Amino acid sequence: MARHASIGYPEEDGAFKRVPMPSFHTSACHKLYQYWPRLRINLSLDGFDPLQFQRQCDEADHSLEQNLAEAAEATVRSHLIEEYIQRLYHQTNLVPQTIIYLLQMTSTYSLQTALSQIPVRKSDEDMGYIKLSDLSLTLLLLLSVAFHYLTPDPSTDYGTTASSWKCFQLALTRLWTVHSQAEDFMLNSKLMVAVQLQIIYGRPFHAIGLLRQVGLSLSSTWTRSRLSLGPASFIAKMHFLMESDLLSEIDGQPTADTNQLFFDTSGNVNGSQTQFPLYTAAPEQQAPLFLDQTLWLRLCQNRILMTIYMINNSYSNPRFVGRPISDFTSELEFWYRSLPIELQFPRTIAAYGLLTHIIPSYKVCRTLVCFISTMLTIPNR
Amino acid sequence: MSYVGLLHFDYADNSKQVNLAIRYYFCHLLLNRPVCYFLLHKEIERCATPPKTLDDSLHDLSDLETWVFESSRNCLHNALLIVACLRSHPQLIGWYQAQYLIACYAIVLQMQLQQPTAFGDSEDADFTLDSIESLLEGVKVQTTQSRWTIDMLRNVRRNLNAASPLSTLRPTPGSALTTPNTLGS
Repeated sequence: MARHASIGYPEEDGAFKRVPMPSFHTSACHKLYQYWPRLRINLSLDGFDPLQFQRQCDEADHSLEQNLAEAAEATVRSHLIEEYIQRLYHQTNLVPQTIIYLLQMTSTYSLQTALSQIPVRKSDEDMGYIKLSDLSLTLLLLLSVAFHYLTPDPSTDYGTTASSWKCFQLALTRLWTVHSQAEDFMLNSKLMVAVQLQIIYGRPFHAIGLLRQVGLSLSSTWTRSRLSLGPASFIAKMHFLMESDLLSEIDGQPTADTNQLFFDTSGNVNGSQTQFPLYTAAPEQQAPLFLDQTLWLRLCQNRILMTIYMINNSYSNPRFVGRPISDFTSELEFWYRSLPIELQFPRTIAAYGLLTHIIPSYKVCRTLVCFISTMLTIPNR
Repeated sequence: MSYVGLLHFDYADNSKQVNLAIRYYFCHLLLNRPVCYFLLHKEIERCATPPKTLDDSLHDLSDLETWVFESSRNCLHNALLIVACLRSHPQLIGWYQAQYLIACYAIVLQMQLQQPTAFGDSEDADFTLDSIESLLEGVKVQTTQSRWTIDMLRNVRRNLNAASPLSTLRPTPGSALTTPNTLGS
């Protein structure tokens, strides 16, 4: 491992300052199994390379291309489509937040758009079944998410996981059609496919390829001239978030110049709050604020990578990382304290209830408190 | 969401909060990971590059400050928090969260063997490692990559445990499974 005498601390003082994803760093989680010597020498799988296996698996996995004909013939009861779409927008706690941002912050994936695209069938027509291949790209991508994350109704035997897979397969075959559509539809559709490839199907190298296309489109003056600031800012933020998440773990080059919509010339966030979001909006209007909070943490993570995990300081003596650790810890503390109380979370294993010896004491205390409360409520005799 | 004292926290109704919490824990884990590495590999690193100059005296480990242990423990505790948080929301584990779990596994495994006192009164390390394996196995869409990841974790864990003088296990010589680079052939 390379040794380096000092680690430069970034001069930026604001959390939302422009912090590009480094093109190469040593922080990826699976790289621990290569670079931490005791782990590496104890890895004895024949022909297994911890640095390459993710790419090898991604390239060798053709499962999404198989049984396409079967997917094209698959059907679904028409009432299930509406039921699952409705549930998707009301049970957002079951769905990863990155997908929820697309549902709540784009017109392409709004509930209204989704409901308007459900084909109308008479109940006796085709026995109430609709072929998945007759559904629009938007509906296929939404149903892919809904069937994957929402618990099936136990009263039906509908195989939701298999249907989710088929919906996504059909959506992939339809992806080329977005290129003749409006820019925001095209870019949102590609983001939706990329996020599912990453989160659900574990195909990071394919997801990063799609994100690169989104990044190149955002770099184009023609595309930007056809997007208003709101959608452009959202797409740029999502692109930045997803690309950073992917490039934290796989090697690749971040897309250049896509941050212009995201950051203004002084490095502040464009079209949004520049510091900590306020929580005065109605709950349904808070998605942009949560996205900014997520983005803050992502940017903080990027800065940590730039400060501690670049290749020239991949091995750091504690004496040299003490200052950055202290400074970043203070910033994270300040960010946490700015969160409204309903968003704060436990930050120690004691607060999370992971301490084994406290539990009995805690239960005793709770019992005592309950007992005292009960006694106090008994009227005096 | 509800607080029950300070000891139990229910994220059930708030995936936004889980998202923020996990990213926050991971920032702390990343920040403290180099110090954790230093603590776990100090002998190896010292043997690899014996001190020669005055500057190298900085690598002298005889006066490790308390904060080095504290920082390593922070790294471990944030790994435990990530695992606990995802354990209560397994449906939110995607590829990216799985990568977090891979890092947590490495840190918990090495700390268990070399700095067991850092766990203090927290949950049993073997329980944490088992739960990471079952969380990864429980992800709905299993790919070749996820299966290989689980194989990798188990292989390292078994071999590291077998290397312990107290263990009756023997290191695994290799795998009879198809390696990823031969999948396409």
